[in-house]
Amino acid sequence: MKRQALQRLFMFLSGLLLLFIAAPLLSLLIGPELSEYTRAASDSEAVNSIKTTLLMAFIATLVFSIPGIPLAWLLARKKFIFKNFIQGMIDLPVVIPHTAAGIALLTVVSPETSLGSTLESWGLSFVGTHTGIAIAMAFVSVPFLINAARQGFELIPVSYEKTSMSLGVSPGKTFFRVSLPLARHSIVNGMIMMFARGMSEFGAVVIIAYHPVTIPTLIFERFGAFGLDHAQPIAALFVLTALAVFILLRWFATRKNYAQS
Amino acid sequence: MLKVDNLSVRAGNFRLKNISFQTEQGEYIVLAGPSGSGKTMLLETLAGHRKPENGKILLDGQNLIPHSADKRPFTLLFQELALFPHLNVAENIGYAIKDKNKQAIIQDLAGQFSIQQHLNKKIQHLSGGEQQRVALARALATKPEILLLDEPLSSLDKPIKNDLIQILLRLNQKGQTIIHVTHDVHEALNLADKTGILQQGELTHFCNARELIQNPGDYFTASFLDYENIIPLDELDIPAQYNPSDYAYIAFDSKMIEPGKQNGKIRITGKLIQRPSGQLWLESPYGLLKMKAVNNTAIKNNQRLTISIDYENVLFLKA
Repeated sequence: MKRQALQRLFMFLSGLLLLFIAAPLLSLLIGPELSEYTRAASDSEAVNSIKTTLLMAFIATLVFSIPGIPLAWLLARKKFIFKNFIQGMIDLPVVIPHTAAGIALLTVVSPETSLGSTLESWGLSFVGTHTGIAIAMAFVSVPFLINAARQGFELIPVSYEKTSMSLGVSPGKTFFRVSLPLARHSIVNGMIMMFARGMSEFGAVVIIAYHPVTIPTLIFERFGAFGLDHAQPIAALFVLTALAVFILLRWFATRKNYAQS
Repeated sequence: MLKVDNLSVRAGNFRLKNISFQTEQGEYIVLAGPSGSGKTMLLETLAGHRKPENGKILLDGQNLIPHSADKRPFTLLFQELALFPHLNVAENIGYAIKDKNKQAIIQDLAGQFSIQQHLNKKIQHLSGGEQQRVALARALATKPEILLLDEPLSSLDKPIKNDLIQILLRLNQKGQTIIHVTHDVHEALNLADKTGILQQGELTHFCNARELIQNPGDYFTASFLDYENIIPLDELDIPAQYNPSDYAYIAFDSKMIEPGKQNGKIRITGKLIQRPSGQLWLESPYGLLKMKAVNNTAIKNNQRLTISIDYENVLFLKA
């Protein structure tokens, strides 16, 4: 096949795929009238659930970055027993049905389990709480952070870290002064992906905490109870909010990157 | 004084075996060997990035093996320099300086290496030679007892290379102990107080350059030292007194053989090849032999010629 013909074929196939992605989103966004958007924006349950969703996804991302980034560094830099098994296990929450992920979490943190009841006696309960929403979001989304950060650390030549230590800087300070700044772009991307995946989570969240209601749960609830007409405006409102947050985060990440290059 | 005693290190199937040598304060040591001979591995072990199986690294009598890389008074400069790309030149040089006069030290080092005008630049905006200078300034900022250099002159353009050689020799003249590894034996012979030859994880020689050239000892070292003509002994008829059983090759310099000299005991016949530069080659049953360059218009390409060498002018080599 000639080069130009091949290019045209690729462009056609790409166009089909882009249409497949764009058509439902556009249809979702242009479907509701302005008055429906206004009504959705003044619907306190919808607004609260959007706030809950964004806040819990944000907290889950920040909290789980604390162990997630060091784990990513270990996976990138160290050889250890069961490393492949651990890598596979990290990816598992992404590939199993998310309702199953929620059930799996529940078997550990439910107050009927010994761990769950112990944690509850310390005032930490998960079922039907904001904490439960955050850990359900984290469970299915933290692999995005770990994998992106691991790839970021792998891209840094190990000679940077060795040089730092050879100059008399401890391994801990080397991590904060060399590894972390050099992998920051991948880490920030991973955090954005984790945040995005977390806020869109439905299956695991609905098993652990139907209430407080997150926006995916509310959309499901409105659709089940009142049909498409009632679910679409809040779904569209959330998509627009998520888009705005996403653009803001990406702008922030690239702005920092330009500033440092 | 650094004493490396019986050091063995393993990495996968490769092993550095029983490495022993010692250096005095202010010496310039070059360890040469081909790719895969364990040069970088040895430097990394000295620097504390690899754990040896056994052996000692003694600095003024103190064993450094229990000390981690950040606690050893050595600075390792990698071939790729590893200048931190997120820091500017001044920040790179001052990276590990804990002294309260940090800025003054940075300025002083920048002056020594003529990079004052680049202090606020990003590393990516420097030329290769400038990057070398920054990396050396950074390495010296912590005043290491020993500077460990991994192939510092490889893949550099000649002017930058000469510039760097000058800097390294000047540093050494000021008393800086340097251990430098390279695949280029000429670097070793030109720079080193003592030269080591690494072959498949073993340090087969450790002596001064003159001794090494005069007595390479074995086939590998002679060929690594670029001896031009090496011939297997079993293909020559050498009297027993010159040919103890453990020698396997002879090597001789191209200057020892020229057309017309027929009084040597070792005689080799072959076809002559002359290049326009005057360089002569003999296509012999033992391979192509390099001869002394002559300007003799009577010599014709492809003419058959017998050359001869005296036993006194050849080196006997072990396998």
